[in-house]
Amino acid sequence: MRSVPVTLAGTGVRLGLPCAEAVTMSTGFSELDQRLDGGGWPAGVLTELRIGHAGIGELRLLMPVLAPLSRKAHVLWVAPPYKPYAPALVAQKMALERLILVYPRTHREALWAVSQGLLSPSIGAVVSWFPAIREGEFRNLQRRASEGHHWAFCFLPETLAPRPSRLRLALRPTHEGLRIVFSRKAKRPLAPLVITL
Amino acid sequence: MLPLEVFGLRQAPFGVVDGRVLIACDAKARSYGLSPGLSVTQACVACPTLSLQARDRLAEATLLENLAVFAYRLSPRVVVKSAGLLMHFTDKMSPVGDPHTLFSRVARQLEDLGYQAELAIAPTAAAAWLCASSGTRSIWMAHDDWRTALRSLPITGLTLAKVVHDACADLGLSLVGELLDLPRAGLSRRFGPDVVQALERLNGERPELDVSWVPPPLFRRRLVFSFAIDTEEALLFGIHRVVREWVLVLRSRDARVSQFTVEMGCADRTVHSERFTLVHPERSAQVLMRLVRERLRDWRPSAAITSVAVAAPLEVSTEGSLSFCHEEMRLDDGFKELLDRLHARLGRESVRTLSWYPDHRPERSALEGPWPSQGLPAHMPILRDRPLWLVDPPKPLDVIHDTPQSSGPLRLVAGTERLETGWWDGPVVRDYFIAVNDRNERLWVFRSADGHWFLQGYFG
Repeated sequence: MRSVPVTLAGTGVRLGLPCAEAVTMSTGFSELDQRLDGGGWPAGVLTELRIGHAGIGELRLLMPVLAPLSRKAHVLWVAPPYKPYAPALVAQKMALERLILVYPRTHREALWAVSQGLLSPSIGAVVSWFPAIREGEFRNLQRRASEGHHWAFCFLPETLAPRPSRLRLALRPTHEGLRIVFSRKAKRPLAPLVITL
Repeated sequence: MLPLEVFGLRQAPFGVVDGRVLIACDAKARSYGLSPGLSVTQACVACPTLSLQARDRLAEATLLENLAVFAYRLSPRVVVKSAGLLMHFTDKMSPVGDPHTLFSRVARQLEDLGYQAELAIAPTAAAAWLCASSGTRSIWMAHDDWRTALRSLPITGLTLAKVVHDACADLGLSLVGELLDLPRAGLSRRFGPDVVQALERLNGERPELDVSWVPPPLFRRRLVFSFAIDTEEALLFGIHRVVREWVLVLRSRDARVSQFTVEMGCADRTVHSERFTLVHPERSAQVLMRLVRERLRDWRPSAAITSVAVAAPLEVSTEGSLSFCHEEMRLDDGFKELLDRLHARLGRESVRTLSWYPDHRPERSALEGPWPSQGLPAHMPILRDRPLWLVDPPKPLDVIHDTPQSSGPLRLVAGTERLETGWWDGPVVRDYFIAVNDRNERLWVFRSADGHWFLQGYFG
């Protein structure tokens, strides 16, 4: 598989097009880009992000990709743990009118909403929060993500048993910045990284 | 000014009459020695070519209402008075910048709309009103010696009952300073407490409580021509003036229009009405004018036209402007399908979008509503150092040994930023800090005026 790095300013961000090559988009943090295959967040992969609790800088980590995507397509957030604060999003250059917040009432509805977003050609990225998810359910979403070819991020509690994801990042706030521990399926392990947001 | 400004095309010299008294006249009429307060007979003798119109209070109210919409784009709080508008700004976080920029911007935009206005900025609404009604284009800030400056202005600019004005004239008082120097107790005995309260509000010693204006869901504007119009150009000029104003209103609401009505009143008392329906909601003055022009091309009025009116519901629409980009339209169609599916299964209330209301209290400014959005203001302030997650309502924090707690004691790493608001509905003063707890989470906390601590957000 060949990697095609996509620059933020470029027009190469293709949405919803079936594509055999792995499309990536710079994370906005050069140290992080260096660790990831293709030099950025991969499209068509349900990236698993493990956090102890919300509010540790997990959104700022994603803003460099979500903001430019919001100017080209819609961005779907499913079951965010708090109310997103509009002025801060605007300061991060997010196009508010393209941000759709979905508040499902049940776990089933949440899974359904995420998969709908992952398959819709009008969506650029899907970010979801789950307090728990079964292995089969995660696999299903993973499959939808690779079909729809969007950027997809799934926040899960750090206490949950590992899920079969292709890319998993455990995030933890430290005094110096956000500490990221990587685990990749069938790849050599990577050293942890601390980035300042 | 206002009674004059509602008449679109004025044939100079021009005056407006209320009853038998001239209440406003243009510059040309002034050059004949006319001034408001003269009787109609006197005015006509002094200036035989004077054209007169009866005062149109309804049109004045409509004009003010539309100017309020314009003002609302710049100020979080607008008050509509009988002869003008008040816009409230706080020192911090004005969307426009410093007062001088603000002033010139308002002046220029009003000029573009074809209005002449008296403007003034002052620390209290009453002072600004006094300066504007005295015709002094002043910008007074809190650190200026504005209270002294007010003293030299005429009493007639103050909003007081007519009996009070008459009494002041009888006493030989003409300047505000002379009134301010009178003992307050005596003033109160003689004229009632209202006068003293008005003076206290003027000086900022008493809070000013005016009812603030709420935007209407309908745009309606009628322009009355002071002389009958019989050429197409003149008619289109009149319509264009209304449409420009209307487009500003649409922009301020982030709204577009999908239907509207244009009505032309003729001298023979018939009204010709044209109804427009658009497939793609629109808010470009050019496109709207093109539609009107096309439609009116073959219309021959039965008599000269005396007025023109535009009415349109202000729908909040997130629909795009006429777009020739097929890729974008395809994506848009896909998005509508997705929304329909989400709505169908989860309910409209579960699919939300963010909007913003100009209020310094974060929990009031950040609005979340069903799709489509209620519209974002054109000038949303970009605020640094704000958290991405908002805790709404703010969560009270425990305090141990004077230190607020949230998963351990909080260390304040940045602040104070004082947010003050609400001179209209109970003053709120909060000191905001960025705090870090034992788990290295960054929190946005504030201390209320009574010393309690609250968690307002997480730097997610």
